[in-house]
Amino acid sequence: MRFRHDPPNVHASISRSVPEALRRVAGLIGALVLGACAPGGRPPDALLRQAWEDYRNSEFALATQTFRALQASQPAGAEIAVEALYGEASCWNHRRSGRNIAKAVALYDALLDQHPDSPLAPWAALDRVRTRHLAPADQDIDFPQLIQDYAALERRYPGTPAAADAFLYRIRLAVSLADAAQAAVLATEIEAHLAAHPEEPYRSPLLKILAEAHHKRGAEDRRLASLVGALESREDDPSTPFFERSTAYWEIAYAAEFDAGDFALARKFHRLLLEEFPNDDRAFAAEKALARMDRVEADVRAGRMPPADRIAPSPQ
Amino acid sequence: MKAVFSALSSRLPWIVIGLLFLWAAAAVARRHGQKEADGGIVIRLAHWQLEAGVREGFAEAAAAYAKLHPHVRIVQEAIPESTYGQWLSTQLMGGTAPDIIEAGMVEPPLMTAFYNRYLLPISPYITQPNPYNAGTPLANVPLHRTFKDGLIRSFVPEVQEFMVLPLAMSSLRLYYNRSLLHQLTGLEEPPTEFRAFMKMVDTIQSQNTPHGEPYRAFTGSKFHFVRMEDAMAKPLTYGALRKIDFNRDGRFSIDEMFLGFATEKIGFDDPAYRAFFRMVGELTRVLPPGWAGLARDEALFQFAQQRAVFTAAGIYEAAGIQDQARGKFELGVMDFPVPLPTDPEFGAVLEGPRYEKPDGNMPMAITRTSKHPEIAADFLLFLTSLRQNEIFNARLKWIPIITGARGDPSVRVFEPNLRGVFPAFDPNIFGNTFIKWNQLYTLHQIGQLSYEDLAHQFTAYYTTQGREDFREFLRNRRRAQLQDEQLLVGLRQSARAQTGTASDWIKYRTIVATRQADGDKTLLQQNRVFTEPEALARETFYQYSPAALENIARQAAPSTP
Repeated sequence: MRFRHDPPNVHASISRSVPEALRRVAGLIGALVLGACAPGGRPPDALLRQAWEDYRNSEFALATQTFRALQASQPAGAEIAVEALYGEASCWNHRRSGRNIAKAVALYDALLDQHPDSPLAPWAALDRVRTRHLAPADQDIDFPQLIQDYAALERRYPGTPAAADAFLYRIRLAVSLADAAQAAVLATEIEAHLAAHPEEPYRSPLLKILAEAHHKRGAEDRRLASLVGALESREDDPSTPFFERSTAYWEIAYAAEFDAGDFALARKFHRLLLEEFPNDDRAFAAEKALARMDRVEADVRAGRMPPADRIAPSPQ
Repeated sequence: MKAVFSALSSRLPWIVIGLLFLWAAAAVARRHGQKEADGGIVIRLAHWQLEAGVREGFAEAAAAYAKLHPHVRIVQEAIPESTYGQWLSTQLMGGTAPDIIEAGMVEPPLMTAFYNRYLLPISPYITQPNPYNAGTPLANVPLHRTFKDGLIRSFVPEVQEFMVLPLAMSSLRLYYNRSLLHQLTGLEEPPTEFRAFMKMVDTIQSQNTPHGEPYRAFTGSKFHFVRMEDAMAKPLTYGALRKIDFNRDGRFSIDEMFLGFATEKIGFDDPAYRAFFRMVGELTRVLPPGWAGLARDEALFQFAQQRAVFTAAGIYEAAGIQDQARGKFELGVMDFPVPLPTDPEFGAVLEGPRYEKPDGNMPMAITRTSKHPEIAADFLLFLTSLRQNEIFNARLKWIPIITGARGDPSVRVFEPNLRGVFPAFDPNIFGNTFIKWNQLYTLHQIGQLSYEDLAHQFTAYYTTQGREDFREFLRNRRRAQLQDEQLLVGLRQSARAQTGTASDWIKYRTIVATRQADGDKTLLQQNRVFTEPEALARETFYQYSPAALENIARQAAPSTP
């Protein structure tokens, strides 16, 4: 896979100027060292697990060494060798000290060129785009280009989990950068996507972004419906019993009170926050909001509208 | 003889070094021998709590545990707070850390790295009941629900795991010398209302000790001032939140304060911030001369010597202070005084009592190098059982963290207030701004810089050079995203290989959505201060939109028959 704005010949410069044979020799030496050191001659899958463990623990030099050794010792095209290639690319991409994006991109490209049908190909393509999204912090990011890159990936690998990630990242950026008219177009696109993909794994975050798009175009009722939908479709991790919903409750209540004027919904979610998260630091403000809405309603009934240009007070 | 002496003398340094080496080797060998004595299991536990009662509390808990498990011995290592961070880092990196450590005393990003690399998640335990709660009302309650704080802050979002079990709760209060208070003011109890309290302070400070020095109301040091500032001055700033809550989440953050100043939505002339500085002035006015240069222990000395009546202290200092008072004077504890709603200076801005986070204290974690992590976890379950947590905290005179565990009657006054206001003032966006703020604020505290000059000088700096620090602040956010990307790829690989847990994909998607995608949203939103500052300044918070008002009017209108 190629992107129009690729740095010229990055892949070629690495994989040709540092000849494949040289890399293989280095890997072979690594393999011999590993073989000599590994207690009881550990099987390749155990070494692969170890390399990923080292990667997770930020032991990038160790992980790289093992990934290279595995590439050299396994038959070309073997699943373990491909994963080791991907692992090595990940090491160069994600290490904080000595990060080498060009090297990572070259390895992702090697995987995409040599193993286009590998299950890792979509992930390599995604990570390749992510190298530009997560460019060094002192570099500016070309967001419009990034949006196009994610879209290209979605077209190239439709229906894959990597494409689902790309869609989320793209929509997130696009809605943040959109004006009201663009937000309306994006809202339609998100709604169509969710309708076409009932099993969408990112349904909840996409509904939250949809709510933002509706807010930008001034459709507050649809914004509230999307926020509630996002809450209801949240994917909670069964191994993590702490389901932090207080912020979602607060967001809905805030939008309902100040942007939509839907006090019934605002009250419902402030009360939920108080019931389920009584020790939350916003519980006090939720209580005050309930009192404020009572007062505003009473004032409106008495013919006194609250001013739109003044911050709503917190009742004493 | 002389030759022998001369030879010895010339080799003396080597002899001393040799003897020291032998002594060190013997000490290490003896220690290891103790640890593995009787072929039993030794669990080492390290903490930094050198306050009175804590070591005894751990020792008693260890003895009680040994009665149930005679083959296990718990050995504690109490490391001074000042060196704990360095000690912990060295032990973890060297692979020699104890089985259980108190997690902290290092910078948060480093602690996150430690969680990832060196500590074991305790997540597998927290959905299960604590076996040591058998026969109690918590017998079948999942572990996380037995904690008063629900273990909320034990969950580390960066690793998506629960990592620590806290053993106690804490809060700050004012300790006072009741005997001296009565002697100087005739009062049995100090007033709880701010103005009456300050009048009492003036009465105290108008009198002299037998040595002719004036009595001081408070122990004075930077350490103690910060506590009084947190408890009495910062809650006054809460109302400012509604002017700068750029993400409308109902919480304050330092980035929002910067954005507020940069867009001129707020400034030092805000009534909440003015009130904060007036309160700081009230407090620094009555602190002893030279307080800003005194250390915590020097200041506490004033209290022990009965030259100061009040000291702001945490519950973890209770036992030490009680030891100092024993046989000399009667000790009292009170919450910090609060202005009345009718107070002419503070009443209008103080919106409620101060909120105290129900954070667990003494967060204990299990190291990956532990040879017996399941036994280390079992000991932590023992310590956080209803009965043991009650006993442990009664010994320490701290607040139990387990629901239903009774606290010592003397600590009831420390129960944290969980409904109230929190600070909305913190101009620290790191870099040079941090240094500038500390320089100016310190000068203001000691009376060398007026409020007006502080406001003028800092605003000028904050909204110009501070912008560069804010840019760096945003860059650091981007760097954190790269770190999260590594976590993501690791999670994805274990999920793909099915070597991880079934929830790895859920964790993966949670991080993608909440840290990476939401992180982009925050970055793009906050970067508008550079790209479209006018549009950012036009945003409003906590104001009814015209559409909302229309809707409210329609809904509130009396229904027509």
